[in-house]
Amino acid sequence: MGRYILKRILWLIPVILGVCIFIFTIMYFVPGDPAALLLGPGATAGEIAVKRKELGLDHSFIIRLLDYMKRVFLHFDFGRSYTTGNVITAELIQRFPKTAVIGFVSMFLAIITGVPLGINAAVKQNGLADRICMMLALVGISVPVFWLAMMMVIVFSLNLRWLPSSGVASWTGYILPCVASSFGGMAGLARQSRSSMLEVIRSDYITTARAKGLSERDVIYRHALPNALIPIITIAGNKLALVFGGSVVIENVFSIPGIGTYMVNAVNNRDYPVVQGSVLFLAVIFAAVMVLVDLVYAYVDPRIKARYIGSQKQKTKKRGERSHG
Amino acid sequence: MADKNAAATVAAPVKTSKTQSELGAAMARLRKNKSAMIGLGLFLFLALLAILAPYISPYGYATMNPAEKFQLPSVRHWFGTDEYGRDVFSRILYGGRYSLSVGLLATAFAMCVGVIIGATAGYYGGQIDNIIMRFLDIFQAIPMMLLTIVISAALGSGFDKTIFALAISHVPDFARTLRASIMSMRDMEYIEAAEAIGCGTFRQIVKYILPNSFAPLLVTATMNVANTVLLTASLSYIGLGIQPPTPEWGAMLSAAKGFIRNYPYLLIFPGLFIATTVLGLNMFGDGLRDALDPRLKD
Amino acid sequence: MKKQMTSKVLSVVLAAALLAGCGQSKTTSPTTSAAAGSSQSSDTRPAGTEAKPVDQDYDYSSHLTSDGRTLIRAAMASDPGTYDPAAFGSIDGLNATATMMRESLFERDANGNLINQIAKDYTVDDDNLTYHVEIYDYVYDTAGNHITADDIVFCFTRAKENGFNSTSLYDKVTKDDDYNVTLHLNNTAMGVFAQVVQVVQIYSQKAFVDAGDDFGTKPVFTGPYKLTQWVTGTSIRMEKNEDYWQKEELRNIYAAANVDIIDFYIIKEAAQLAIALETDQIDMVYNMSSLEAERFMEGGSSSAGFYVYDFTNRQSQLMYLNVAKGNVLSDNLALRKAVMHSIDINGVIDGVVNGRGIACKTFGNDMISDYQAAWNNEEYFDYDPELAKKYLAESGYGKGEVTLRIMTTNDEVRSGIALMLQAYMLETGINAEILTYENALFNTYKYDETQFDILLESTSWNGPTVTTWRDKFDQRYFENGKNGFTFAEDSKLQELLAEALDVSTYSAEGVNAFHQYLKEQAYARGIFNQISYSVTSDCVVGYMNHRVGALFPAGCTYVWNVQ
Repeated sequence: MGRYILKRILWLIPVILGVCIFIFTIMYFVPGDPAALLLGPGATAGEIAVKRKELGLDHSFIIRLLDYMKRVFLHFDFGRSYTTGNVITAELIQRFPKTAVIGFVSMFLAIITGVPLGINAAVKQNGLADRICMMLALVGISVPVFWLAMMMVIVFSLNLRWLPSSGVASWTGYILPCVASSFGGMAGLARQSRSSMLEVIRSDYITTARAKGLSERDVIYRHALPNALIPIITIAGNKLALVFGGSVVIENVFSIPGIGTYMVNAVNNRDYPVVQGSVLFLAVIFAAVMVLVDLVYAYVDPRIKARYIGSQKQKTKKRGERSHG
Repeated sequence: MADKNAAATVAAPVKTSKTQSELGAAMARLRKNKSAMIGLGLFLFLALLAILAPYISPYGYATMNPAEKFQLPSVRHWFGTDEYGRDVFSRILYGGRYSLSVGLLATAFAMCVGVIIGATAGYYGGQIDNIIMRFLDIFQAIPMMLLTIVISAALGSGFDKTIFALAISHVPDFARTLRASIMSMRDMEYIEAAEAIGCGTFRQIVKYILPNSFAPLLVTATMNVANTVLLTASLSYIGLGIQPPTPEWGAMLSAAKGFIRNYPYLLIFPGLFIATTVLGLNMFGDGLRDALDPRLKD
Repeated sequence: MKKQMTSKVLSVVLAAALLAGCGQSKTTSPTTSAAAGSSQSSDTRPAGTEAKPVDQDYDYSSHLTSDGRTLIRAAMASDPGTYDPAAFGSIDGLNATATMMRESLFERDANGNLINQIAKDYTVDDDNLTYHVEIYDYVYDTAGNHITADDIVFCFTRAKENGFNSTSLYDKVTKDDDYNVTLHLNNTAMGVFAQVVQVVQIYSQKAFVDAGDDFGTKPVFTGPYKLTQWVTGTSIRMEKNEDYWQKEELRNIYAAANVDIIDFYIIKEAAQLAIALETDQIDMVYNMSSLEAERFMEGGSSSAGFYVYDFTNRQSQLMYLNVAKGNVLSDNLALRKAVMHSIDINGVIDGVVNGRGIACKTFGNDMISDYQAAWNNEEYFDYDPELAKKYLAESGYGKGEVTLRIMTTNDEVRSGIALMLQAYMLETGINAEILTYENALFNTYKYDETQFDILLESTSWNGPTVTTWRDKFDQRYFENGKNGFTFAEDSKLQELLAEALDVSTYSAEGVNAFHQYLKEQAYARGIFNQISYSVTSDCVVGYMNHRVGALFPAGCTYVWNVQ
């Protein structure tokens, strides 16, 4: 087991390095010279050249890349913003809680509403509740999240005045963003839970359990459910990517000063270090969470446990199993 | 030797007809699935509207008429007018062309590239597979929205560049699907047989593997188109991707942001159309998945 | 159309003065400092500012904090980012807040007249390049540091190192004694001195060194307010500086401190601003969209407790025609005139800003200090579709044969203008393609003559007309040596500009000559200035904007000042 954990964590390192190189390379190709933009109109070519030197833009690609990686991984220094000159790391740390709260709370909401709904729908398959739930879930993943958010603003902020329409000055400002954000995940998880549960219910050992005369309750909750939950864990982890990525749009709708807005503003201002830093930061957090999810999954799934704890190495091909989703 | 040859020649035709009948059975199941057919119908209907836009829209999508701005839906303007007096219905129709074509083109592009990558990884296996998978891992370590934003920033805004940006971020999906498909078939007898008779790698892939991977690919493609349409709207909303005055649905929503209190109808129609398109695609995709392999649940 | 505000309050921004002569007055004696300079230290609110009638029974206790200090809450569109004058924060946030905290040597009022801040007086030598400035000897910042000439030199040097565009106008600043410095300019154009002294903020070198890397986020300046709380992305609190260094009777208009505490909240969207007002989250909003502002006007659904002030926004929308060699508009005056006469400015104003705008009659607006009243009565590219078609025929192009590229940012107003331009030009027979870019790319392509045929942008004027004309048309100012964004290589234009610009040759005739020539050649034109609305709670009885184009809560007059 320890070997598996170690393997997963070690695997993180090249991926993160890869992400860093990847992002840096992409930003390198973004058109528009930050030095010229900073100095504004009327700057002479000489002044621009000086500014470029100051920003370190005159070195070759490799040197800049290595220098950046050295700073980020050895000193955790993402550099300074081109526009404000503020230290990026401090800014990221200050903004992260807002993005994180919305991300994790909406995931939590999605899980505690989506999974039970899906499982219930599976158990009462083809009943009225099943059909309605699944229809709603289908709608839930089809509706653009920001549109839903705007509709909620219209109803709850503009008309009912129950909740603020923007900002996080008070904790009530988090309610709408979290709920809006959770819909996609909720709907997706409901669908996945239902199909996972159905697959389990149809399998042989459930039939055996029923044949043995166990109560339906026992069959469902003690035998089917735990097995159905296993793949759901991975799916839930994947949905987190959706939520983190969607945070950019949600933060835009509700004017939340999180990492998403920081990044989008930086993109528009050609503030490369901020874009690089934000994406890298979020990717690391996301990757770390995925490793955790994988570890939980490995711990919970007896098949994997057996593979690593047992002394024999079986080369089993599990039906429908995928690595990393 | 001769026996093996005989076995190969006998194996191949059997497999083909089996595939055909499998496909046929799948299509029958699909046709019986009501919600899948409704979904397909919705999507095709919207696509038809988009194609016929120049012929059926009552006004041009850029025709301004400031005197008639902010009109509520009426007989003259079925969906009302926007802040410049432009007919919203016409803009929605034309917008469909942009939103849908971006979705379809980006997916098609991603599929082509993804298939090549996935095939290479799946077929050769070993080190090549490992390397390719690690690259894909890097791609997928970044949440898709963020990745698309960064690529979109690098390429710039505009119709064609947005297609590229969206395509690039969806390649891993197709690559993985195809790879999984290939890996599950690699050890099958008919592939061994094909190799035994001297069938080249490329031919093997194209003639035998691809047709059998068709099913999961199609499912992935359908879901991807849906996803891309949503993503395009989101990109336009935050100011990247396709910008106003192009009547892309997401861009229309972005432009209507400022009128959320006074003229909410401007927000309702574009959002409704996006949702309907994606809903139709999802319904069809679900049905497709159920039909092609009733046991293939994600 | 909804009824406009009944009582228009002319804020400081709406300058009524139309000076026919020089913008800056200057004595001839180079050495005596006594009578030099036009620096005024009294309130320069222009005539005609009507304050709201004061309700003596107005209960402003809701605007008091628990310890009895007055509090006002305003909104701004973005987080300032940083207060370090040598860095580039976010302009909306900075304009809203920094003006109450930072001071320069001199500032300018709405009419373009210099007003004292840190500096007391100045003289200028005959060469019009060397300025001697004397500062007050009792200037202190909020940390108690004494400001001396060393600090002035430090600030100017640092500003120049970091390359703000106005800083290229001076070579260096030298110290004469503890309270006197000499500013060595390198340009004799009108308004350069004012531009330079206004753009460089003064702070203590010691404060800067003490703060280390945090100077931008923990600012220490000399102004009448200090920053006490900053929640990034959400809010900023500024409190009155009880130890403000200047004597009460000498405080300049921007050193007013009519309220003890000012809170700024970051709110971007127009709808959210309106809601924030209605739910009593904030008390004042600068430049609200006319659509939302209507709600608060008399007869509107939320008008109770609020007052709407309107003023003409100093930003003029401008249009340039690209006449670079090889461009379709080059050497084709008829085509240019066809374009200009196709446009119905009133139609544009109606369509884009709902009729709330004032058409420009020059490349500029009538609030500029040396605007000439005679221009109001002149013809300025009047809307004449027949004439436009005639010019098109003259230009050698048939209907639909020529396509022009209009370049703009995706700013709502400007893209609206582009759309209307396109429609009007189409009626004449000229096709137009609209290219929209976001700010960063737009600012790069502006300088590239292959990227557009028609350019739309906007700018404000601070000071006489010629200072901004210099920024836009002076060949010496642009890398490519051409006349700015028109890419013209017109020596006559340059000659007229140079003559109008230079301090020694500046005259009303010169200004007019340039205006007429620019008009004749149809290189560029002003389009319109928007009328903006600020909405405030009833506790505000006198409204004030800062010349940078932002609300100035410190300078507004409140109920508690007059009750």
